[in-house]
Amino acid sequence: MRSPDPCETAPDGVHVAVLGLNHVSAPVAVREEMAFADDQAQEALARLEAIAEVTECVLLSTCNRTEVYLVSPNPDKAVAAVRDLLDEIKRTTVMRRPEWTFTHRDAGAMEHLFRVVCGLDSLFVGEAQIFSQVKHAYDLATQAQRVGIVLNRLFQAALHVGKRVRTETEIGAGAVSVSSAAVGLAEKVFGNLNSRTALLVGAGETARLTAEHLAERGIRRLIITNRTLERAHALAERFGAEVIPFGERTNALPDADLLISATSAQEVLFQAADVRQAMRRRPRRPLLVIDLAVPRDIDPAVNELEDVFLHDVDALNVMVEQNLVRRCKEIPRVEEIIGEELEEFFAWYESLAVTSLIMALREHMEAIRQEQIERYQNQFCREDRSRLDQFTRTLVNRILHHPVTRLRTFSRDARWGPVRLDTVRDLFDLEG
Amino acid sequence: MTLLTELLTVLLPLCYALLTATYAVVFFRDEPGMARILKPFLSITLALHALYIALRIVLFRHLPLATVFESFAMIGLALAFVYWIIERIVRTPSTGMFVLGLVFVFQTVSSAFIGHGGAINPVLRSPLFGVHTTAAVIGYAAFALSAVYGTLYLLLYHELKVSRFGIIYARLPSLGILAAMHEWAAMVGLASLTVTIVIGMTWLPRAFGWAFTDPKVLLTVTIWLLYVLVVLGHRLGWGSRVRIIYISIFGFILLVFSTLVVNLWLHSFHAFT
Repeated sequence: MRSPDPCETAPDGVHVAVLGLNHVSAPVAVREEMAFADDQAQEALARLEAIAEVTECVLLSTCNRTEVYLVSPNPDKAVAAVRDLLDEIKRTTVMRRPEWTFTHRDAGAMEHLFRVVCGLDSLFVGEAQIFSQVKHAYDLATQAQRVGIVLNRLFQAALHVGKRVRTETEIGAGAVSVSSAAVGLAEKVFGNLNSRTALLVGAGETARLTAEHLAERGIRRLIITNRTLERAHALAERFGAEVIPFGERTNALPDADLLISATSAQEVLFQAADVRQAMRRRPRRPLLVIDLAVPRDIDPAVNELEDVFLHDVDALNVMVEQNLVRRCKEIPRVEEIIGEELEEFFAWYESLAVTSLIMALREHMEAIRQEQIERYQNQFCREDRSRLDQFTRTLVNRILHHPVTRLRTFSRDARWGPVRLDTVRDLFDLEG
Repeated sequence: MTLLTELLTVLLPLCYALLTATYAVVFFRDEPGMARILKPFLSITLALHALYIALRIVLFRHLPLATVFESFAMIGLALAFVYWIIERIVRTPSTGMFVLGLVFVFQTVSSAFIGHGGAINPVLRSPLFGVHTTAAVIGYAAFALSAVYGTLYLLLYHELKVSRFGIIYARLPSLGILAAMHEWAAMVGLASLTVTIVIGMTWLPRAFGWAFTDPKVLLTVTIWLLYVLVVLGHRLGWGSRVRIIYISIFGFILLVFSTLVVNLWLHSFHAFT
């Protein structure tokens, strides 16, 4: 399969372009500065409407990227105007800094979107969240009536590619962060988490991420404890969790199916004897213990207890690395699928030029026909005029039938198609 | 008809060998192309197996349960059929390699030693015998499944204990699901074996005279007691799950021993030819 060449000509008057920055081009502080919450994105979409050069647009903003996809007859002018507008909204000059931003046009822009939605452009290859983020950005733009025929088709195609690669390849297989690996492990032990209880010790960034993953997977009950209780309460509020005093942490063990500890404590917080005692009060229920702290919070001897599974941060890092290698092996297959889908989309995209040319040709012929009828209709009696109209209409259609059929095939000829279309335009003095 | 039966006797072990190998490729390499052929391949093999059993019933005019090797063909069919249902429910072929590998063993032993008729004990024509043996076959197939899922539980348990996240970790269902499947299979097996024993006990004295000291009967009752322990252990939370699973695997080994060794080398009334 041939992937469209980014330098291939686009249909006249219809260009797709993307202007953006991402985790590769810009540091996190810059990305934070340019991030758009939903209400800001809606405001930006409304203001983008005022730019005459931009006929359609979608604004995609995540923690790792801010990108504007647009359709314009004059993409250079449109990109410059969007650049200025984004800077104006954020009161910054970030988008004018070429070292932090990028632009792609036509096939390049389409391929970029397809790679983004498949997770090939993500910090962790194949991450799943980007798919829903792209869909959300498309929905926002649709609600704001900023999506027309081209971006509608492009985003539908991109979402189709995203679904296809996740079904046909293992690009999204396995967890690729320590916190999600911990939750994945819990699912491997218990299956569904919606009848399980987790005890989370700590209230830092790792604990927050773990709580987020547990909430996403539908944990039934989350108990949080931390040396500084205020921080535990702040975290618990976000996830509807319970808080217990730090000193009572071992008392919560008999209720917990999952113990995750991520503190900066310098001493062991859970001795093997604590866990042994808890296991006696909860026979036959496995306990998954995940120690994400360095130095470790949990006595390694707990792993010798029956039905207790202890994993530390090293073990989880091994899992994450294995999963990343596995995902990277899938990249060639994903790129092959992107190539196939891009070719299909590009065929439609190029046919836009042919469609407008065919319309122009028909209008041109119709104008000649009308002109000639006007000129000669007085030479015909009233009864014959409708026959004359019918006859000339049929004649024009018959004359155009073969050229129109041939014109449609030109869009599939990457090498000579554009030249032939230009010749037709030239012959009939058309502008389509 | 005889030719077709003989052909299937040879063909079935080959089909199961190939099927197990295909499931193994999908398990270890996760080939989507191979995964697509699993369902039709399993269905075709199952249909051939059912045809084989039907042909034997028509050809020899009795349920193919007269010898231990005929029973193995029936257990293989029951096991493959139950797995076929399970795969449709859980929608993952990850345990197929293990279950169908066991079916391959049963069918290969059966095909290698199965006879072609001969004088049959008239007791085989009794309707109670049909219920007794059908319940036994279902029970044996369920115990075999329970042993497979128990073994997979122990494998995954070990991998989780040593923090090894290899192919076993990636492909097997969760520990919770394996434990539940082990428990359910053991319960179905126990219920079926109970029916088998009750019918056997009430019908034995009429058919054979007093035969409760028969080695097969003694071993079957021992196996039944072991599985009572397994099921109660699961339901009431006695002892550790790992130990209960070891007991069930021991029970299954004893069951194969009782079927194979006792029938072949010890004197038992459970030989009908």
